[in-house]
Amino acid sequence: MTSGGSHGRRLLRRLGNGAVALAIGAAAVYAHTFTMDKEDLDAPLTSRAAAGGVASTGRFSARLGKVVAASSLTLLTTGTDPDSGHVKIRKSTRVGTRDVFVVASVSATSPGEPTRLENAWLRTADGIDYTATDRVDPAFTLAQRPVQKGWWVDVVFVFEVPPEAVRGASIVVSAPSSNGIYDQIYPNRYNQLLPEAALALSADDIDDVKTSWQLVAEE
Amino acid sequence: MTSSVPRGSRRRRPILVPAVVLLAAASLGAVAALGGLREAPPEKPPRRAAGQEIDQDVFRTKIEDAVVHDVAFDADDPSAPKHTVLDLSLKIYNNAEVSVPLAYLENSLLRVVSRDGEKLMVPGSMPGAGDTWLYDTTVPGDGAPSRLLPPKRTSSVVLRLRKQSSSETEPGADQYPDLLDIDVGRYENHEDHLTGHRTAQLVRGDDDKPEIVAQVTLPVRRAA
Repeated sequence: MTSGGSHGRRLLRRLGNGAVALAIGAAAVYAHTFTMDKEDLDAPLTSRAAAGGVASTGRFSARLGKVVAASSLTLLTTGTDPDSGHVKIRKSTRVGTRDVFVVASVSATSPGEPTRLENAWLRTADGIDYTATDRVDPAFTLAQRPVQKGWWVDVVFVFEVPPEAVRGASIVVSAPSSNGIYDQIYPNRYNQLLPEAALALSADDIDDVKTSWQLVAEE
Repeated sequence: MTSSVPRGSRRRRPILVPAVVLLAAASLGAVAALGGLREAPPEKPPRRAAGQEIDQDVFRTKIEDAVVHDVAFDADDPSAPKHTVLDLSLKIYNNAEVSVPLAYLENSLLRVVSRDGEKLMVPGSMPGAGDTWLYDTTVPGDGAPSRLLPPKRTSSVVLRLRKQSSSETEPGADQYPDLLDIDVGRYENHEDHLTGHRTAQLVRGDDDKPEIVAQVTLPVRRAA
């Protein structure tokens, strides 16, 4: 047993320990790149679907149906004449825009509790959200119909956006917060991490901009 | 052997007390010269002329024009009876990344008063019997108005004020003010201390009242 060999082994062990410590330190530093920043922590839980696909959040599933682009809308209110039984047009309003109306039909169902698709946005490729327009009365879109278990409900959302915003955009729908009493005490306070479904628009949906599109409400 | 003071050491001058006295006198003089210890008068919020841009953080706002004119009750029917209104025209650039309801703009108009101090709008209050002024803010559009400001765009907004009278006769144009004073507030990104959730809220001063970032005085035109 020579002292030289023992020295060498000790030095080797120390070097090995140092390398391990450095590696652990480096890994810890690297792991910090995985932490979520404030923006990510606040972001909603988005389920995405390609054009025509179904996006399932835990609370509802949604699928994008027919999408129409139009430069004006005709809103027809119809009613049935009680004497003849014929359907008559009671009121007709034309709503125009310098931009473009995107009329998107969304089918949705819920796996459990009924809900409503309370909020809808057209989200552009660079993340700008256009809220569904308020220029069309809900009677014409039935956007607030309950979404329930067992069948698919069709609701319509109308967006008024500049034509260049449509390319690469998706329709985003979200259910309201379900925090019960806390929502009544502090409205909108606990509504982060809400589930939302982002349904991609396909390019051929919106290539052809119609001069007018008709939406009908039955009286 | 009489003294323990070593030779050659100089006598020490008492310098500390005179120096402190001198410093105190100098600072007292400086304070007096700068206006004493009385509280400074509060800084006046900046004044803006009509058409100048006001930075409200969420919005960039130009208050363009105010006009008193007669409009028909029903826009589709020109023969309908008319009433007098005051229309305030604004150009609003929405700097947020999402559409913003016009209520945010209404709430940031902290004070809209005539020269004799009559309040023309109180945001958030329901129009009741006691109110003599009604207001409605819209983005006029072909066929139907909107009450949303689209993101990253400039919208033309009309704030319509109408005087409501308890008597039968409709108030005429002569009962509308000639000059409006408008105080504008500013938004900030407010973080909720409990949830970390962030919302735009009006900047508040020490007295918990919304701070005024700009004051606009606007002459009111009479349409011919």
